[in-house]
Amino acid sequence: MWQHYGGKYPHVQQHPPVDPAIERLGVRRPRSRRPNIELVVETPFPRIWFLTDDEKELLQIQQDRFIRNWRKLSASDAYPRYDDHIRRAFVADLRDFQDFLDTNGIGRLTPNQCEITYVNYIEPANGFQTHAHIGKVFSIWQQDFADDSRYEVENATFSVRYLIRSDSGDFVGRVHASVQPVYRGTDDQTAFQLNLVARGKPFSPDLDGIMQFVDEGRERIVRLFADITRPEMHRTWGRKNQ
Amino acid sequence: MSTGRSKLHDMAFVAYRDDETIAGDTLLLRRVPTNPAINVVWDDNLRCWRPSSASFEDHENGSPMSVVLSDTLEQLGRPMESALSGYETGFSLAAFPASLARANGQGVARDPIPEEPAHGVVFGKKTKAISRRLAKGSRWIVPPDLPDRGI
Amino acid sequence: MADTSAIASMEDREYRYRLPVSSDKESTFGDPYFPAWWTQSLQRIGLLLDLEENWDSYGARPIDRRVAYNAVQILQEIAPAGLPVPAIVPTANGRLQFEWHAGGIDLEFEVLSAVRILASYEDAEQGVEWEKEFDYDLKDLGEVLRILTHRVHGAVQAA
Repeated sequence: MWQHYGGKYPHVQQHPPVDPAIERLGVRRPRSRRPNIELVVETPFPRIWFLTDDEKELLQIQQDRFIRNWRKLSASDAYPRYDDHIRRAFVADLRDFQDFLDTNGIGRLTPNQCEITYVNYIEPANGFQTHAHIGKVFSIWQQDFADDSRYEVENATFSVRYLIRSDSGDFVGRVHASVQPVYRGTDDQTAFQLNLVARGKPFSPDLDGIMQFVDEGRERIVRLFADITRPEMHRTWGRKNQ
Repeated sequence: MSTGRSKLHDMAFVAYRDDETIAGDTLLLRRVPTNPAINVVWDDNLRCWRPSSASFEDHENGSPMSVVLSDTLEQLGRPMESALSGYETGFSLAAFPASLARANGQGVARDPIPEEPAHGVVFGKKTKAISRRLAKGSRWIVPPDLPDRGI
Repeated sequence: MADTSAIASMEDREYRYRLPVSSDKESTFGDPYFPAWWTQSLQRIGLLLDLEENWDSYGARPIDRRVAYNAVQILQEIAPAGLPVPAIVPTANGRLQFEWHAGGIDLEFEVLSAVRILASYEDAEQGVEWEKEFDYDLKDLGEVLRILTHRVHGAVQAA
């Protein structure tokens, strides 16, 4: 595999594998709230990172997962757009990976879950100066409570899960939104980290079905981002983008 | 009359027909790993240890469930316990009547093999419910050595 | 609570499982969402993972470790508080089956993969019987686990 990817992804790193994450309905206790039981009998297959020369784009491949990432490594980096670059590159790399599996007689990729994740760092603006100002950033935080002088809010975190259903009402997956106060590692800047994850089953067990879910998930994430953040922040971001 | 096709381990397809010469009260014997207690469960409804339904399934490769036929053992002058020959350690022996298999849509056929002249098969689609009925309807010929949990 | 590792030794193999253990041991085992039988069940699964080819004398396969992992995760996700101890048995095809036979109920489910579960349910009291394959929607399976739990605990309380 290193020979296959060495040209486009010259840097390789080895990491422990990540556990599978399957969205199911009828779950009483999500993974985060139950004992972490691992069954470790033998050395697990690692997760291999294949990185581009500038290390901003990478593939992560383990025994049961294929991931493509784009990373912002410096403040001046601009994220590539989903339609222009991200989607096209993901499809190309996934097809290439399946070809690699076919050529080497390894097997057929049978997807049972898809996931698209956006990690956002929301910087101070529009009255948001400290983590106590969470109500000035997020619309689902009750602003009146935050302004109540009886409570000196220091910071807050929250997470919400939304169901994704098909047009016929069948369960497909979930969108997870989580917010936590952070200090950005590069410059210690106060920020909120907003993670938005859409995860669910492919619409069909093939590349088309995968992309149908990924496109749907991405649309829901974009809509949720707009709905979960305050209009005042949107106006600030709009001015910055002019 | 039940018929079925199954694939033997040597990749030949065999057509089975239910054999009416196998009387309904003929016992079909099945080995169950019980030491350690691998495929035995405590059934609190029946207040007894019995084989799990997992002991009464076809193989994923299509081979039907193997059994030893008590009528053939009798003809050969062998006791039923001889079905455990070569597996005396770690195994018990359970038996259910051929009539129970047929009542659950299965066919029973003789299938002698060099290692076991009394070998037979129980063929037909086995849902979990059917496998469980066979398990619940079986009795121990050679029981497992497990403590009684009844009060 | 602090995470700690517990090592269970079984002959010459070690099966490591990491469980959250609080400083107050009683509260851990009193937690209805983490019953004490999980430890015993994990040791049982460890034993089953050691089974070799032809363990049933009829050509059974060894247990697929990944399927065993999926089975544990799924049961953790849907088990209601107070669920009775399951019987855990291997199948000839290398998978795990969880079983309960109590309170007039027979419930078995076999985890075929991370997204395929074959379940069989019979309730003699209610005259209900079904067998179906589940994928991502496990609501009905969770519901019968709750019915079983209430039926068994009701019987225990009445005894």
